Amino acid sequence: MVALQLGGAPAATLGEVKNRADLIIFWGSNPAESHPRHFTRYSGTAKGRMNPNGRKDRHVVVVDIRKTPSVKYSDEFIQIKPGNDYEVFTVMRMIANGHIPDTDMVGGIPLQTLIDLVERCKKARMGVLFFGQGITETKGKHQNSTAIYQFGKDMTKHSKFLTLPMRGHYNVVGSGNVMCWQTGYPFAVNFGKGYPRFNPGEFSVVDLLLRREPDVAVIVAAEPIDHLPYAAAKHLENIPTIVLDPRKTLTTKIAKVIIPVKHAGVSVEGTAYRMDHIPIKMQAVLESPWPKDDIPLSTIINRIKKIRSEEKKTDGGKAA
Amino acid sequence: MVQAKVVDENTQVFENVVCPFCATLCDDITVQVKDNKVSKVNGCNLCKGVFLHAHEDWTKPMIDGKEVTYDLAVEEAAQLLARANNPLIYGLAATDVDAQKKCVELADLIGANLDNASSV
Amino acid sequence: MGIRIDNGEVIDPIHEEDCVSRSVHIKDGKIVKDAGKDAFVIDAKDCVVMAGGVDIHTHVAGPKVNFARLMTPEDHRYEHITREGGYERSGTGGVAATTYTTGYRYAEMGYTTIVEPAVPPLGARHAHEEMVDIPMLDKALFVLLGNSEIIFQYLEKGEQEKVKEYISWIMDATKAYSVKIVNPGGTNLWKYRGNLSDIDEKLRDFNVTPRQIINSIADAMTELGLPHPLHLHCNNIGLPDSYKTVIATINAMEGRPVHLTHLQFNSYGSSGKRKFNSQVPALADIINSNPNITIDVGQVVFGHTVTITADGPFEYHLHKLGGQKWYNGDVECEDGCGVVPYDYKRKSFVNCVQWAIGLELFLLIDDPWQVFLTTDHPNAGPFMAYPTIIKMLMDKDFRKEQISKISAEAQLEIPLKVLEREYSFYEIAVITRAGTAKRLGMTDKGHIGIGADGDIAIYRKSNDYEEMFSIPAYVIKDGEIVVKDGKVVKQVDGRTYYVKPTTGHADIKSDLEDFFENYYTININNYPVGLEYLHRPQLTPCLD
Repeated sequence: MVALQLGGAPAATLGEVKNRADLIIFWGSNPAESHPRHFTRYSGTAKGRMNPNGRKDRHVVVVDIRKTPSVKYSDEFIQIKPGNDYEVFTVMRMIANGHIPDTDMVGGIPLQTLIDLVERCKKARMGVLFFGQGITETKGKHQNSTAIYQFGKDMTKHSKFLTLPMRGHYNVVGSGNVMCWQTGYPFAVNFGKGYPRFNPGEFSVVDLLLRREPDVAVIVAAEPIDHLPYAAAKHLENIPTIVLDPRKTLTTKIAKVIIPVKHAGVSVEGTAYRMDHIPIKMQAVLESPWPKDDIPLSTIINRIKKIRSEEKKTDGGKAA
Repeated sequence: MVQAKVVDENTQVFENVVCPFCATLCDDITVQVKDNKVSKVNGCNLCKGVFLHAHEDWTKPMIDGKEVTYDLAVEEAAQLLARANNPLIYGLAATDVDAQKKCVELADLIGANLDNASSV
Repeated sequence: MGIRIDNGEVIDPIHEEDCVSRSVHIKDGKIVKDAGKDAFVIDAKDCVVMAGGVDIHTHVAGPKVNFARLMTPEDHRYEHITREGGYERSGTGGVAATTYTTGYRYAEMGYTTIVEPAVPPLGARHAHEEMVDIPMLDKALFVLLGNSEIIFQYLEKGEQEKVKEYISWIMDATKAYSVKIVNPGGTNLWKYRGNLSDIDEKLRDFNVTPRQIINSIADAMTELGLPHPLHLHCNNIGLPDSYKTVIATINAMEGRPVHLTHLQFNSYGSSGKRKFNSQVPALADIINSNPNITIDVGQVVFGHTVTITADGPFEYHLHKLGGQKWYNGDVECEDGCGVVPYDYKRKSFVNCVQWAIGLELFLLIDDPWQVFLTTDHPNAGPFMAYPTIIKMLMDKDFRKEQISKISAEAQLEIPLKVLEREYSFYEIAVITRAGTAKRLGMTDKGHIGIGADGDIAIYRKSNDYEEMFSIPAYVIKDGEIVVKDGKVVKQVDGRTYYVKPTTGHADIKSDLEDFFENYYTININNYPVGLEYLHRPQLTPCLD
C-alpha cells in the first residue's frame, strides 16, 4: 500500500492476465497453497482471447526461497536467498536499463539467469509479476514492493508488463478501499484530532499495541491473537477488548465483550473486493439468528451519540 | 439474489456462490445446504474449510465470559467506547463493505485508531 | 413546512427569466405555486436566486478516483474538515478529497447535482458504493463503453441491433444514466502498449475503427431514447493537432447529437515557435454552426492536481513527460484507467496556452447553451475553482490581470488576449445549471418552474463574483435549508438517477453467457448491480 502511495504501479484486472499474458512470474508467492484456484481461473491454465490453449501459451516462472508446492506447476524455478529480493530487483532494473553489474551471482541467483529473465520480460506480449507475502512481509517490506513496481514501470518501456500483489484475506482490498474513500488513507489512520491522520509506524496496529497505547479495542472479523506478533497481541488481554465475530476464535477467548454477528458471505449477503479491486456481491447460504455486523456497530454509534449529548446536558447544567 | 434450488424439504443448492476465504474470490462455487449445515461444496480445500465448518463454534453474546443478552453486550461495548481515551479498531479484512463503512464511522465518532491487515 | 423566498431576483434561463423580482415557493421538496401561510420566509434582498448547480462532468467516485486518493496522501495533509467544525463526518481534502468532503464542498458552492462521468462496467458497483457516501447531492454515472470488446465483436459482424440490446442490458446491469466513450479503440490497443491516432485506423484484435464505434453507439443511444446523448472524450487527447481529430470526429458524427467533453484538452494545434498553439477559433466556428454539439470545457487551474482518466495510453505519455507517480489499471474486456499527479505552472508555456484555451472556448462559442463549466475535476483542476473561473468570465479586468501573470511568451500568442466578452449572470446560470440540466435531460433540474426539484442556490450580489459564488447565502436541497452563508448546516442524502432503456428485439443472452465464460473472470450471474446499491434510486424515463 505504501509502495502504491509512493509511486503507483502498472496493474490490470485478472481477466487481462487470463486473456493476454504469456509470461507469468510468481515471486515470493505460493498460490498452490495460499490461493489454490488462482492458477486455473486467472494465471496458469486459464484460457483466454490470446491464450486459446491456456497453459501451453504461457511461460510460468516461480521465484522463491524454497521449492514450494507451486514449483511443480512452473516451467522455471529460480531459487533466491532469503532477504535478497530488493537487491535482486535493483540488479534487474539495472539490466533492464542496460547496465550489467560486474558480478556472477546476485542473491544466490546466477547473473545470467537474471539477464535471461529480464530479456524474457522485455519480449513478452504481456508479462505479469505476482508477488506475495514472501516479498511484503520479509526484510525490506514495502521497499520490496516499491522496487517491483519500479521494475514494472521500467518494463513498460519495452512490453506490456503488470505487477500485481497477491492479497490474502478475502476482503482486505475492500477495507483499504473503504478507508481510502472515507479518510483518504488505506490503513493506519488516527482520528484523535477530529480528522483522519495517517502514519504507518505510529497508527499501525502492531506499533500501537507494542507501545500499549490503546485503552479499549474493537476487533471486527479478525484474529489478532493468532496473527499478530505475541508481544503486540498480549496488550489486548490487558485492556477491555470487544470482539465482533460469528465464530469462536483465539481472540474471542480473551475478549471482555463478545458480540455475535452473521458471517458475511456465509449467512448474510455483502460486498467484497477481489485482489484486483473488482467488487463482487457475496451470497448467504446459511441462516443465523444474529444481526449483520453493521447493525450492532450502528447501535453502538447511536448509543455513544446519546451518551455524549446527555453528558453535554449535565455539564451544561453544572456550568449554569 | 440468485435463488437457491430446493432439492427436498431440508436441502437447498446454491450456485455461483462467492467464497469468502482468500482474495481470489472465486464466484463459481456450488454449495449444498442440509438442515442449515453445508453438506457439500465444490471449492478448493480452503473454501471447503470455510463452508463445511461454518455452522460450528458460533459465538454468543458475552461479557467477561458470561452469557448475557444481546442488548446488554452491545450496551457494554458502547459504554466502554464512550469512555475510552485512545481506542483501537482493528480488523475489517474479513467482513463486507457495509461493516467496514460502519467501522470508519465509529472511529470518526470516538477519535479512534483504525487499522486493517494491510499494515501487518 | 414550506419555504418562501422573497425579494430575490430570479434567474431561470429555462423559462427565460433574467433577474425577475418574484417570490419562489417550495414545499414537499418541490417548487410550488404557494408554500402556504406558515412557510418559512427567506429574505433574499440583494440576492440572485438560481436553481442548484448541476455539474455534467466531475470525477468524484469509483475505482480510479479512489486510486487518485490513495496516491496523494501528501495532499490530504493540507486540508481537512472536522466533526467539531459542524460536519457529521470528518474527512480530508486536497484535490482528490474524501467522499463526504466532496459532497460538503459542492453544496457549499450552491451545487446540488453531479455526474460521475467515467465508470467501467466492472467498477459500477464500487462507484455506487462511493456515491452513497457522497452526501448533499443528487448523482448519476455514465458507463464507459468505447472500448467494449462485446460491442467490438458485434461491430465486426455488423449486428447493430445487438449493440443496442447490449447497451440496454449493460446500462441496467450498472445502473447507469448514460454512456461515455473515452479514446475509442485506443484504450483497447493500450492492452498491447499501443494507441491509435486516426479515427479510421483499425484495431489489432478487431476489424473495427473508432468511427464505427462512435457512430454505432450514438445511433443505438438515440434509438434507445437515452436522455443524455453520447458523451465523448475524443482520440488523441492532449497532443498537438488534436483539434484535427475533433473536426474529423464532428464530421463523422454527421449531425448526430454529441457532447464533446473537456474539449480544452483536444483544442491544440502545432503552430508557433513551440509547435503548440490554440485552435479554438477554428473549433468554435464549427461548434457555432453545429447545434447538435455541446461541450464542457475542462478549464485548467494553475496549481497541483491529479489526473485520472480511462485513457490509459495518455496517462503513460504524461508519466513519461514528467516522471511523476503513475498507476495503470486496465479493465478486462471493457476499458482501462490511469492516474498521474500533475502541476499546472504559470511558467510553463504549454500550461498557459492550455489555460487560455479553456477561457477561449467559453468566450468564442456564441451560445452558452452549447458550452458548460467544468474543470474535468480533477484533471484540469479542482471543482473548487469554479467561482474564480466565473469571475474571469464575468470580469474582463480581472481576466486581464490573470493573463498578465502567465508566461510572457504565451501572452503574446494566445487568442485570449484580445477577447473582450463578459458573461452575464444569466449566461453563468446557463453554463452551470440550466444548460447542463437540459443537456442531461434532467427535466426537474436546472430551473425554478412549478414542479421542479426544490434545489435552490441564493447568492448575495457583489462586484466580486468569486466571493459571491463561493459563499451562497442559502442553499436549499429537496426543500430543506442545507447551507447557510457558505457553510453546511444540515446533512442530507441525495438520489441516484439511472435509466433503464426498453429492450430491443435482438436476443443476446447466449452470446453474453459465452463471452463471460470465455473472456471474463466473473460469473455473469454475479455481474449486474442491483438497485439495493443505490440510495434513493430515481428512474429517469427514456425519450419517445
